[in-house]
Amino acid sequence: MKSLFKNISQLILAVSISAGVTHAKDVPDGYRLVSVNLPEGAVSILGICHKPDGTLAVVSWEGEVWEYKSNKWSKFAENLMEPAGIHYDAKEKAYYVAQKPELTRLTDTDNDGVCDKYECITDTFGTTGSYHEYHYGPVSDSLGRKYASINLAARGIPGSFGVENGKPHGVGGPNMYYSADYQGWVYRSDRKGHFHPIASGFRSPCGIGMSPEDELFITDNQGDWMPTCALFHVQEGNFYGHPASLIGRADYTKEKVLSMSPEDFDSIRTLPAVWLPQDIIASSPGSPVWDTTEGKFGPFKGQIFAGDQRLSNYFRCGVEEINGAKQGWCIDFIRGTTSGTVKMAFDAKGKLWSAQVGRGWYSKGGKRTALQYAAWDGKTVPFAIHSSNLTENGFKINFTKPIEEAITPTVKNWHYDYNSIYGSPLIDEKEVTASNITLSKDRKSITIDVPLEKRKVYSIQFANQVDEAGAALDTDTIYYTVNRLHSTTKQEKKKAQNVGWKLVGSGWERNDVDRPLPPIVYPKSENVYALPAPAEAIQLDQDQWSNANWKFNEQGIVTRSAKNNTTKKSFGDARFHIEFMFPESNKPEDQGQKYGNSGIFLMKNYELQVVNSYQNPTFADGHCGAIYGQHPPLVNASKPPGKWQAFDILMKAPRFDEDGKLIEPLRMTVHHNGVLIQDDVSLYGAVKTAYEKHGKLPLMLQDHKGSPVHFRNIWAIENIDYDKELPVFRKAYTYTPATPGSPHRANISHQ
Amino acid sequence: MLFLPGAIKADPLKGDFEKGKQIYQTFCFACHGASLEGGIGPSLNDEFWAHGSSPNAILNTINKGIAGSEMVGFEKVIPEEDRLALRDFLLSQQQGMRELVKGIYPREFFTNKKLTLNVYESVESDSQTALPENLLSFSGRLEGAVRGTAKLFIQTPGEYHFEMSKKGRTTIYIDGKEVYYTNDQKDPAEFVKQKIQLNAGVYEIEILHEEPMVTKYTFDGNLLGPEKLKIPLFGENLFIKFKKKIEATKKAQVIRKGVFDLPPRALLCLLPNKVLVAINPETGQVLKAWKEAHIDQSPSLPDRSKKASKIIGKEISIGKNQPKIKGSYNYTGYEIKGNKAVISVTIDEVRKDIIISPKGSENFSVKF
Repeated sequence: MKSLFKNISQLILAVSISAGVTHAKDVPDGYRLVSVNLPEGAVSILGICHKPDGTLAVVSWEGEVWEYKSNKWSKFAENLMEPAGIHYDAKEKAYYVAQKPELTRLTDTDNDGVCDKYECITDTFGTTGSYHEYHYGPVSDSLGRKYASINLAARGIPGSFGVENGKPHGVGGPNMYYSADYQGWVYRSDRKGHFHPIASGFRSPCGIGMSPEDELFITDNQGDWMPTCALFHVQEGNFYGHPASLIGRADYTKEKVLSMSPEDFDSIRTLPAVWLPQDIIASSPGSPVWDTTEGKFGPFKGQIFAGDQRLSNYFRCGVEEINGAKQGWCIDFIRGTTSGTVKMAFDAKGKLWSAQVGRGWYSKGGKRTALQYAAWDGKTVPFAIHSSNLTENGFKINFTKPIEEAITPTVKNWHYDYNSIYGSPLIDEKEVTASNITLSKDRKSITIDVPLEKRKVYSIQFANQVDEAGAALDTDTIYYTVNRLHSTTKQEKKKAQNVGWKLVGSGWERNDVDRPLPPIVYPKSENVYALPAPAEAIQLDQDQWSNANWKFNEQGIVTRSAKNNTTKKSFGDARFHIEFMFPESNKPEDQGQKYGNSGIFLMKNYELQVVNSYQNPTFADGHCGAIYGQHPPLVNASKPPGKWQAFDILMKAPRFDEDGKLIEPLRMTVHHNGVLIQDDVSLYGAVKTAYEKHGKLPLMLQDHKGSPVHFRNIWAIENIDYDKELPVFRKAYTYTPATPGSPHRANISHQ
Repeated sequence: MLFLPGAIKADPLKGDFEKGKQIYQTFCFACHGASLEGGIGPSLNDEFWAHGSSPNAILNTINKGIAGSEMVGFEKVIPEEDRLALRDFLLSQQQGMRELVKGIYPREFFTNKKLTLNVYESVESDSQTALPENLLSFSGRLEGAVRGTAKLFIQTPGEYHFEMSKKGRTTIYIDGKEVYYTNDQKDPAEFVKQKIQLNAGVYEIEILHEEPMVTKYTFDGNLLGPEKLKIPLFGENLFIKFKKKIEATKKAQVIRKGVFDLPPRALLCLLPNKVLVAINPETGQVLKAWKEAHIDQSPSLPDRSKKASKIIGKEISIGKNQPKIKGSYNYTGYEIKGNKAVISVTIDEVRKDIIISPKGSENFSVKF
């Protein structure tokens, strides 16, 4: 009880700080906020998007999709279940909506302006149907892959899982729970039927956005394990703070999660790129969008805009890469929307539209729902804090207009608690000395020196700053989240190898040493996965290979030898089985990528990594079973050196059109020692090059530096129907869930 | 001339607010927010009270909880005295209209009369509807002479006045005293706006209004108070605006709504002959069927429960209308094809359709 009252009083303190922020007016100079009437049926709109022809579409909580064109509304679809987000896929000429039970594609097949085909893209996640199990999105990356996020459930659902730590108030402990598969996760769906969970630890990830650079961002809401609202940069495999969803991972169980302390969770969580100070910037933030209007929306090109459902505002953010991670700032922008913004979209004319709702949570704007847009007049530049950058000694702050005299701002910093108590007050809030202010030559930027500390939020307030005409700042305070400082030592991070494409939507660079390593699980026993070739298979023994340096012995074992070895035969869609073994080595140099390195190059170009990953750490996408430089294995099912292991591979060759343009990337599903480690992944390209049109090509085993690698029992089945075989192949071995504790210790037996 | 009172004394709220606040901070705030703004649970200081805003209704919700939602009953958790204190504390945090009832009265009794409480009292109403929104609203098919009756909660004492759109005839009473009057049917239009002194507490408010026959009243307004305080009186009524009933149409429909006792992913196929067939897409099995059916979703949407919509109809036997599924099954979507709902699935990776068609006036068939 005592801690509760402390919490309340500090919450009130946090609010009182907001009163200190000064806004010149609700809507900055040069901008206007315009309301557009909604159709009679659209009661609470939760999503908004534009079609290339200028049609605006909104989706409502009540389950309807409405189109707005030439000032007329028409109903496109109805009877959906609480869809929270809509996206138009121009290539497929179809809408995607995240409704509660599934991600759905809506198509009008007879062109009468009304949807008649409702395709389930994925429903692999669970739902009990309860109120808070929202499903938000989707957004799309440049490859057309969809991303959506799933809310945790509130308490009260039998069998649901919550994590209590600290001193929760009231009855019943923490307030958000994992009640069905992949709640608190964000997932990707490459195509119909495909579901790939990519990151966990979210609570109420209402806001989801894809940057023009194909980086995924999520906003989440204050609550248990979420000390204040935040903007997260999503990187595949990371954990973002709310521990209930950890049990969706292969390497966690309920028992393991419940045995962990807040410090344990803190050591594995990824901090948000931007903390959004509670009740000042946000309280229930919506989806981020990027100003790609090339100046049509004013001087904030490239910045992130989002709105808040409860505060009824628009705010701005910016992120920069500091020492290998994204972090940045936020500032309030427009206040006084009619209702609470949840989703936004820029149209082709550079207007920033917002779908607003005041239902479920009280919104300051007051109305139950609204559709508004903000527009810039094309000439009037408001005097505003444009952005901020972290410097080695403090901050650089940029203004939209020149200033005559630089006035040293008031700088404060604080951090947040992290536990199951609902929200955190500002901890250790204090004023820090800003000194050494300098003004740039164009008089639009200043730098200040400030004592910098990691894991702090800095508020920088320019209470008395005026522009050359004497006008006050539109909003006088900017907030910068310092997770990391500029590196002063030699950067340890391995630089990305630029291979002509990036890991779209993944958040990682190639061979990124910060990328989480695949969880370690038990492999199956050898008699399960050492499969003899079935009748229809081609045994790939000595006479099937073209490099005579690689000699098969009497047991049919071949050792990696000089120069790569390709099969004489070429393959298209195929299934492969390959067994391999790394002889034990005690040599100190046989470590990392040099302990038994080879590679299975499908179609001579696409590499499935072969390396010892048993107690031999290396970067994630260089693990045994990784699509090298692209996709780490889902789990690490390695056996120790000296033991025979196996890959079972189902592969669909890439498809190209007549002009050589890629239609469908290479897809692959792989079992390692009987455990599914690649689940229908799409490859970004060959190992080091983008896709180039080709037909059937040989299988290739790679020569590489490192300790020896032996292969045996290699066979292939040609001309399989990948899509037809996939569901059966995926279940070829019964999946074994995670093992508790940290495997690869002496007490865990790897057969 | 009208008699316009300068100051009206409120009914003060009574209760142990300090104790109520403590109870709130112990049991309620994790879900309803530090300042009652809502969170897991709904806001407790906005106008919308789905389960009633009267002292008894609030106490009942505290006691019994809301079935099918995360709101549990506290009858056995908190002593009665403390529950009453909590209820009184919640009431002390309200501002604006509560317990709003909208009455509609036959127009002809009001012709060429001033709208007064006496006239209303002399006429029987066509309808009386409690509006959980607690904001007065009008539907498209209106309307007669409207009367909104509510409790008016005031927190900030000071000078107030009504700022209303000047359309038709309007009279507003507070605690039985006339405080606002307009009539645009008079020439010149009569219009009396008066400043009122209000103190903190609860008042009775009556808003009487009528406009010449139009498709929809667009009357709007607020009660304005000290320091730019704006208390809204009009809003949008969710219950009127959204489609409460989903009924059979010429085309088949497939509906996805949360229905108690059905799996959350159920496909509700409503055929043109008013037969509704519920199918579980995770198995392809027909779960139940009804004739003369429609879906009533009125309790669900502004509510926060999962019990959601109701199927109204007479349950009929499924009989042999069950697809015989053998092999590896997968649901992939549905299409509307005229009067049929076509559910597409794959069996051992081969596409198949489950076609639900109307049969006769009160049955259906399943072709697979």
